[in-house]
Amino acid sequence: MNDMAVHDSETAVAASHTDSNTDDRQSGKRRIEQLSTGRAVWRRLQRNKASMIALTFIVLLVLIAICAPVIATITGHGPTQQYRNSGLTDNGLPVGPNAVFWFGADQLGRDELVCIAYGARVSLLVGVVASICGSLIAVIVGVTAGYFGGLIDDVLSRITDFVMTMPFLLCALALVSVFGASIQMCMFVVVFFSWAVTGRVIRAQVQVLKKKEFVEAARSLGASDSSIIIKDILPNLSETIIVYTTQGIPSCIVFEASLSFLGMGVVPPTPSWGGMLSEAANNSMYMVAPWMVFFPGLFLLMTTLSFNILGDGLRDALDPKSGRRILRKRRKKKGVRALASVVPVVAQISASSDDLAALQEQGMAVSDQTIQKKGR
Amino acid sequence: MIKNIVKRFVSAVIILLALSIFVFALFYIAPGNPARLIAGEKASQTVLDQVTHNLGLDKPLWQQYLLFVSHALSGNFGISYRNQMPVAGLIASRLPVTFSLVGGAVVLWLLIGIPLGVVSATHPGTWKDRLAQILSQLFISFPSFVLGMFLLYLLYFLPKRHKFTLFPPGGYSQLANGFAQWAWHMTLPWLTLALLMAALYQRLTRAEMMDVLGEDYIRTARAKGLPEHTVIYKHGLRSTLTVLTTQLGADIGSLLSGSIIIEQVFGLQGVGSLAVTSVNTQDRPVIIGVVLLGGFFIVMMNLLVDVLHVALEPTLRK
Repeated sequence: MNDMAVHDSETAVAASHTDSNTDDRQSGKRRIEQLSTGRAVWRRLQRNKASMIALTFIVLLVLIAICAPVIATITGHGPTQQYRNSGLTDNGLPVGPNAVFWFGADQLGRDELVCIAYGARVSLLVGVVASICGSLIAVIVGVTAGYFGGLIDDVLSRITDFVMTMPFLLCALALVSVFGASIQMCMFVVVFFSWAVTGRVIRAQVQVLKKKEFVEAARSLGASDSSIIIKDILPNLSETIIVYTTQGIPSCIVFEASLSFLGMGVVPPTPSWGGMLSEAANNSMYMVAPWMVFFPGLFLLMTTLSFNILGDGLRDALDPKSGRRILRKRRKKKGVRALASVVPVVAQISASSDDLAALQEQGMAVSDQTIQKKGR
Repeated sequence: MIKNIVKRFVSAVIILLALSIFVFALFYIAPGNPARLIAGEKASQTVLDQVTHNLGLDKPLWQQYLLFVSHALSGNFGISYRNQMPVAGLIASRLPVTFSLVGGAVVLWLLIGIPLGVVSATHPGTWKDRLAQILSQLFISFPSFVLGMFLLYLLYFLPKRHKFTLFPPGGYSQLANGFAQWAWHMTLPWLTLALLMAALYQRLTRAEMMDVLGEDYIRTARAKGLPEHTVIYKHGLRSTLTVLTTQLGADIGSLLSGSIIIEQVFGLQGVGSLAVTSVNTQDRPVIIGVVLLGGFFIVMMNLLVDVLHVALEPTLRK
């Protein structure tokens, strides 16, 4: 992928023709400036409007989650308190959005807005923490399997295959039914089933990387395995790890919400979006109180959408060779073999095509391109 | 090639065995005594011992496991703790619902997803492509239950309020009661599942097609004067089949046990809802049966895909 880039230093030179601003162009000077990788990526990301909107929403959501108690104070409603007088009509039905209950109330007279704010904490916590833990496991397994190969690789790959073939939602239900539902259990289940795809991608990349010249050079200088892995291999995996962690967050959030929706995730009365939606679905409550589905559903959708868009944007920004930039080129030059890759797993795998060819000989390649989507 | 397939078959069997050990161990270390569950809270110790003995729970774990495997091989997955019915029969009675759901949705999502992907790939950068991309991004992000409930509200409840039944709220009508009734009842669940999956297939088809359309043989096909639609559909789409069948096999396999949420939203009494009920009632034989069945579907679909690839991909035929 980026053979020459990050290897040793954290800096990359960005020539001014890609990142020049208008001032430079007007003065006619071609200024060459050195940008750190982070700043170059950030600049490229900034040019992607959809990503910036998504990022804004995510920042807002984090603020809402942090300020949940503030929102509770402003509205004067606690997250688990039931307002049977003001929140329910005389018939015992929840009231719709009004000045007191901005997003309406639920069937017990709780404030939907406050519940959503507290639910955001659960969703973000589970999503981010589980995704990071999943990536950590994926890196450990993928690097070990890819770098050392042989028997270790065989065993680890079989385990990865096994986790990938498990019917994950059913197994999650079985696990929860045995150990009881709780937020920790929920997190564990999400992590357990979310590392396999990333692990496989990282393994494939490491297999390619370890044959590169710079690894050979490091080894000939007497570097130990651990030094090669930490100093030479891991920096080259950073893009993959960042992109997969970001894209893992929405699937973890949906997985948690699905479990909570089935009553096997976060235990009420702790507010969670999945739990709120499940309460709305109970006895078709949402038919008379559509706001009970609309607001939590919208927040859930916006969150997953934002993280997905941000993940795509990050992938394009981190690897300028792929994605939309190619599209722009293609319009001018038709017939150029497209590097375009829209689906991440396929993209990453096809990037390491030497490795793929080797796999194909063993008849293994076919299932490598499978993308799993959680929470169906 | 046959050697390869046999190898795959063996690994499929090993995965299933591993899965059975996983669920079995899970329930062995689980707290709570199943005998107590059956005998009831007030049963005396002698009754409890009797039930434990009848269930074979007093034997050592490995004996219980071997017994379970040998029974399972002959299609006997034990008796449900709750309603004393054979697990195999219980699951079999739920299968038609799940098969209808997945089968119909597959047709629908292929019909939506692939043409949209082709249009996207042949018109990159135009408004058609943009629109298809935005829609696919949206539906890929949609959690299934949120989409299901939105659709139910829009297509069932709103027409209903105006005294007009567009679609039923859910439930299942047997195929024996007439095809139209069956299809009418399944439309909303199909639509929900199909929209979610079509988004993924649009992306896959688009990425693959864009790759293929830059190939030399496509240029050759155009150069020899073939009409554009022949080039795209006969030569272009043909080479996306490998990726699409791989994904399709994996999706069908996991959906046959994993359409839990859609079944739950639309009140369909399929395998998924059976799993949820048995988890809620701690009905262990049923959970084990459903998990194994789910694993079986996934493994079998993967195997089927591998065999299909040999037929589709001439380079694999040796």
